[in-house]
Amino acid sequence: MKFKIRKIFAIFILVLLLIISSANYYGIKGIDNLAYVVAIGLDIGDEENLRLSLQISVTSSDDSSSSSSSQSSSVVINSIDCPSINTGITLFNSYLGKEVNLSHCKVLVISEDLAYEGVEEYLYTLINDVQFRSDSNIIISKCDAQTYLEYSAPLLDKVSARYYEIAPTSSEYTGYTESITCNEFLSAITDSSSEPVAILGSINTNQTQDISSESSNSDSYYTAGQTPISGETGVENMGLAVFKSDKLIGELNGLESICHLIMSNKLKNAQIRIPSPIENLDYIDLYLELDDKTRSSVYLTNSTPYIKSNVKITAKMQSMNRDIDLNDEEVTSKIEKAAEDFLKEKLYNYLYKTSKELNSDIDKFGLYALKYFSTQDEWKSYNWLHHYQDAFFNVDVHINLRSSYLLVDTSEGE
Amino acid sequence: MNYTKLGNFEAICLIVILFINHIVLNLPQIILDNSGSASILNCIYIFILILIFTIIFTKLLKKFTGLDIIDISEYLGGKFLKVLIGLVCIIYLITETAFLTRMFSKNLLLLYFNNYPLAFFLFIFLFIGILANFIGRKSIIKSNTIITPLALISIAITFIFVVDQFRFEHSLPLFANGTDKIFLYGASNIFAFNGLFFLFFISPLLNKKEETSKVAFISVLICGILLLLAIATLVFAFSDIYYISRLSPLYFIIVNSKLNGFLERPELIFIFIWALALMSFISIALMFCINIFRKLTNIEEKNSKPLAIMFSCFIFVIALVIDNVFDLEMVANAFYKYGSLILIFGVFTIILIAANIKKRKYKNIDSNNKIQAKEMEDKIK
Repeated sequence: MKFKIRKIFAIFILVLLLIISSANYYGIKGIDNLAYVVAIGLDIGDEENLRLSLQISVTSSDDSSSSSSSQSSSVVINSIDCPSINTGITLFNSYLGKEVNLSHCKVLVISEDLAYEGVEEYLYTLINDVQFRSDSNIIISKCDAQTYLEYSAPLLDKVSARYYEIAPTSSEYTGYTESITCNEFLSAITDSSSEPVAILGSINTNQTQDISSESSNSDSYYTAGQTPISGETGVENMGLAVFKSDKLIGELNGLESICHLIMSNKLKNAQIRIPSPIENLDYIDLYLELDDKTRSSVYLTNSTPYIKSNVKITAKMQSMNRDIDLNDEEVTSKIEKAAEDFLKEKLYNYLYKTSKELNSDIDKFGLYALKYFSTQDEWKSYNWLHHYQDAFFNVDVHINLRSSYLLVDTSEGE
Repeated sequence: MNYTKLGNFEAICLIVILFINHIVLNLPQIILDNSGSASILNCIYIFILILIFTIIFTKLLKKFTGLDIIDISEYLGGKFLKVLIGLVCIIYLITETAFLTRMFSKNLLLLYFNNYPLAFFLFIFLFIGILANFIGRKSIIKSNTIITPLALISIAITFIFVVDQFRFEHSLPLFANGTDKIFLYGASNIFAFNGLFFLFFISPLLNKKEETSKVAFISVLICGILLLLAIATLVFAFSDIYYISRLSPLYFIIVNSKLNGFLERPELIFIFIWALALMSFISIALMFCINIFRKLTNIEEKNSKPLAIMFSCFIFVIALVIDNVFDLEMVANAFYKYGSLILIFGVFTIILIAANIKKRKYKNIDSNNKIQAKEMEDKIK
């Protein structure tokens, strides 16, 4: 009995201690104390090194303020010139009277000018931040990051955070860009066998639109901001920003992005426009998806990489006109051949652009060369990323025109 | 001594829980830092090594069925060795628990509870351990049999959601930093299986004492598969895993997995399960500390439960001794590695070998004596 009382007393003391230690107010923060950032923008500042822009979601209680342009009223954008990201956030805390919280940040926008100088430091700093989610997308903006954020209006979405979450996934059905997260980007920077790419974005205005002859033949030749869309000025993510280590060195247009997705096995769906080999159509629109994984292999001949790839694609014919019989094997093989030739040429152009012009292995071919080296030291002394500019390619493309959509044969009425 | 008896499954869970706590923290990172892209090869190598060690341990323990390492020490070197080994085991358990609790609490504070005092979390974890020991051993063992499979499943799930990011080429170059780093220095990574510490104590607790080897092999197999899975996932899915040391590789996997697609903060579920695993381990460590202490001092069982408070105080103090996190990680990792290697694969092995030699010697003397006695009898006749 005495022991039981002692036992109860000991437990009581422990529980009491627990309650006392946990009852203290250790700065518990509610939604009213926090300013939730949905997007971060980084530019080169006027006086200091960096201009930090934050797109902050306004809670329902205080959504009176809003920025100009096409931005919806549920967000506010502020910019500050500061020596570093963390200093900027602290200054924002002071200015806003609320604590800036990055845990709902969906996108990091870096201006092209800053990207040319190198982004490694900012990436590492953000990834080191506990609140920042490394699965946030990274966008390289051809305009100022601040302008990009101001014009990033969720036309079809009420919540900005949701918009930023969904927008990069458009690459799954267009193939014109790729959804790149900050973590993937940082991995590619540190990796000795590949280089990083990022989503290319810009605002789309009459001044930025491209109406050149090449572009007018196909939508896929545009890069961000060039698409001739009439309407309210908004942002456009199209193409990819190519990096050498952490520095921007070039960009890829929509079609080149499709080529990149094909070579890196990430293509979900894409549409291309090829010159028609059959009568009644000048151009044919094909909807593509990978039939099988793109198989690549690297051979080293006198230290020079020879890269061989085998691309297998399934196509569906979108274009249709009178007097086309897709049951006719001759017609389908003609289309397949034309598509293969077209894509082969574009893939060669793309691959030699990444190799000779950009010298950036964004398709991770380096991984296939690793097998020739037994230790890390050997691999590092070979320096794949340097040798990539000497690479030459051999691409086999097999396109299987599997079907059309609802119409198969329009010739029977003739 | 009146022990709560263990079934095989409960015994396996006891051995595996320490491994789970290590893998949740930074065990994979230690191996990856050492072996780079050859970590999978290193894992297979240490798995083979640990299987050999397990065979040796079980063979050596066979002659001492029903005895733990403290009893064997007493048999070998009398009371002095018994007390010495007992104290070393208690110190090892207390230090191991202190570092694990501190590291986990530190991560928790860093990620979610910035303004909370560290002592508060240490107190909560230790309080649970004390409470569990007051309630009874049976509750500790039973709850551990629920928590261990749960933690194992949670870890396995983290791997499934990054399968789509696998690139098998990330495991190349095959020999990464050189063969010596894999097979020579890399052999020290066998410390990953330090859960085997409990193997030397469970024999008297088992229902079927003759199945100690079966328990050991199944435990090693589970730990080996899990370690291989963890390392393979990290190597195949993340190309920068050798270059950037992270807080907890498992946490990193979850944050970057497809789970984020349909759960806003999936890591919270996992951290909760891992916190349970830590609580379970603390309870078990305290339970074993009390058991060993009782063996050394002959304290009655009914008076032994408050010892949990004493051991918790030691854990609390040791956990707070090192203030600097970088120093803490260095010391903790060195302790996990060299403490386990010296104690389990060094001291325990030597004691077992010496005890076996002694037993054989006495057996020979006994049989010689018997023969001599028989000869004498014959002569007299």
